[in-house]
Amino acid sequence: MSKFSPLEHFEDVLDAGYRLLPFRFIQLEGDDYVVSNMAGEFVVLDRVKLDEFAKCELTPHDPVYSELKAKHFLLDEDSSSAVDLLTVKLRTKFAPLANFTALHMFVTTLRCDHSCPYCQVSRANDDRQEFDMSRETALKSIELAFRSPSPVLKIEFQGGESLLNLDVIRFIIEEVKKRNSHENRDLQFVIATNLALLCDETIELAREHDILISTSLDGPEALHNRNRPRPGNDSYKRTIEGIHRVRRELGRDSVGALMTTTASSLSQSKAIIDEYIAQDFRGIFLRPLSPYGFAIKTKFYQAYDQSKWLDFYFEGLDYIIDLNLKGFAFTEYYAAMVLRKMLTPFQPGYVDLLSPAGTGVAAVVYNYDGDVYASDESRMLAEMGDKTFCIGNVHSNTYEEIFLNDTLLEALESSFAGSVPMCSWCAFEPHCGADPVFHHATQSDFVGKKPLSAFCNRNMSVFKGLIKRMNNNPEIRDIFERWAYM
Amino acid sequence: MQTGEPIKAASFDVAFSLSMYSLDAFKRAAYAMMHRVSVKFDVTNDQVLCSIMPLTDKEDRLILERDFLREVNDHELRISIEAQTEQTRTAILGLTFSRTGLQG
Repeated sequence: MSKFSPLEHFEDVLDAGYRLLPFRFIQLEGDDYVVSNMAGEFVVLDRVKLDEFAKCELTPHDPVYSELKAKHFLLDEDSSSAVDLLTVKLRTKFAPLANFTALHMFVTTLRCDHSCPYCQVSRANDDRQEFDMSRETALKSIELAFRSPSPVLKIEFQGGESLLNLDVIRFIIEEVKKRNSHENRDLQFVIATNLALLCDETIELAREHDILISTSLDGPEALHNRNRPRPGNDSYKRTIEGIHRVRRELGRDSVGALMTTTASSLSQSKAIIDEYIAQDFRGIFLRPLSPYGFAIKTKFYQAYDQSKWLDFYFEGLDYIIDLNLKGFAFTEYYAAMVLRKMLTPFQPGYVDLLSPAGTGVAAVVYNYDGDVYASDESRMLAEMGDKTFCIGNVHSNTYEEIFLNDTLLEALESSFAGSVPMCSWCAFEPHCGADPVFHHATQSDFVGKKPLSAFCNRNMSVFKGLIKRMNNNPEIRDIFERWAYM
Repeated sequence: MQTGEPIKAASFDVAFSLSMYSLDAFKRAAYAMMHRVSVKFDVTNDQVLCSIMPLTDKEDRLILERDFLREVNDHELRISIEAQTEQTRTAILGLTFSRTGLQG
């Protein structure tokens, strides 16, 4: 007796038809549509094929049938595990929520030696110490950080220029480590600094506590110095010297860099990327400008429109893809995070791509004065006079009062992308995030009207651009698969 | 008017039969196109009259009408898929959050 059923058996099973599993679709371009399931897996179908599929008219012999079945878009007599597999994938995506806040940002000072016109965290002159975090505020903030159930605590020091209050950075690290001797969390420390004030003491501190350095590099020297003025007009020189020194003394991967896009950057995407390659970075995050802080006060934000940034982004992305096609491995990190959501069951921790919003959940900010903000953008907004997302103060509020703050809960609940107009029927919802702070800042509404939203327009354009590129070229798909699993 | 020149869009009406479409499809289409048009609905018996008012005079009426129709058709299909898959969707969400330890 054969161990296998005859072929006819399977044909009979398949001929019994199929039923649909939940899916959404959106136009990609022309007659092509992106069709996605609840876990974010997707296929591209033309409108006729989409109609046939939705009306359950596809036959098992159709070339797309197997792909739709493999990616859990349909259920036939031969695929009883699809619902369970979708559930596991969805649960994997949402699993990090249970850990709550992992990233705790300490604003050690608002003072800064630079006077960047786009600065999103309006700085104070570097000789006014009333803008420094005190040890008392630091201790209270540490207390709150350890109330988070997260097994990983990432402590990031922000400014102003954080190193202008190096004493409190050292104090916080020592206190956190002391506390952790019985908490046993996985600790990570990051100092965000422009590196202009890097000194022996900072290097020794970083060496002793395995601190990572995160710095700003906006591009070639002329652009960087124009964007980031300081006395002596030597920001670029100091930053590059600092990067080299950190690598020399602490190791190659001890320093990362972020760039900020300004109107002056928009025509220089390749030059900016070349600068990152020249400085031996393995990738770049082509960031848009946020509508906060001095950026909006000085009209920097209005100076460039969204379509110009998208042109800049895709010119840079295509340049990077071309480098990879020629054998030089280099990553665009925003694309990599989106691709992680598109091509894997995992979530990047990037606050802007989380739904429910990462605001107060994935990250929290302890300001120099003890105010607690739901995100770095919330702090930027407050520096403009809008303290909507100030969710408490370490001196006067308990952990419960801060994290059960009505404004925070309302923002999280109302902006959840799965249930708001347009997002709830958008095929990109599993790939996207919710940003109540951005929509509050730009539309005075936590949800925001998505057809008018720069956040939605930008992300939608990026998602479509990535899918078009990998759909048209298997080699690009291979590159994107590598980025997704980095 | 020269051949090929866009027809500038003043307000115009498009009528649809409610035996073919649900009212929700029109509401969703109007929402999705709020950056280009305002839409007023007038429902009578089995018909909906959509008065489409472009927000700028740069819109080409034929393109606008085509895009609105595409939105309506897409939303009608979405509504149909949602109705067919609602129970499965609820079951998947229920199972997803059933053993997370978040229930308290």
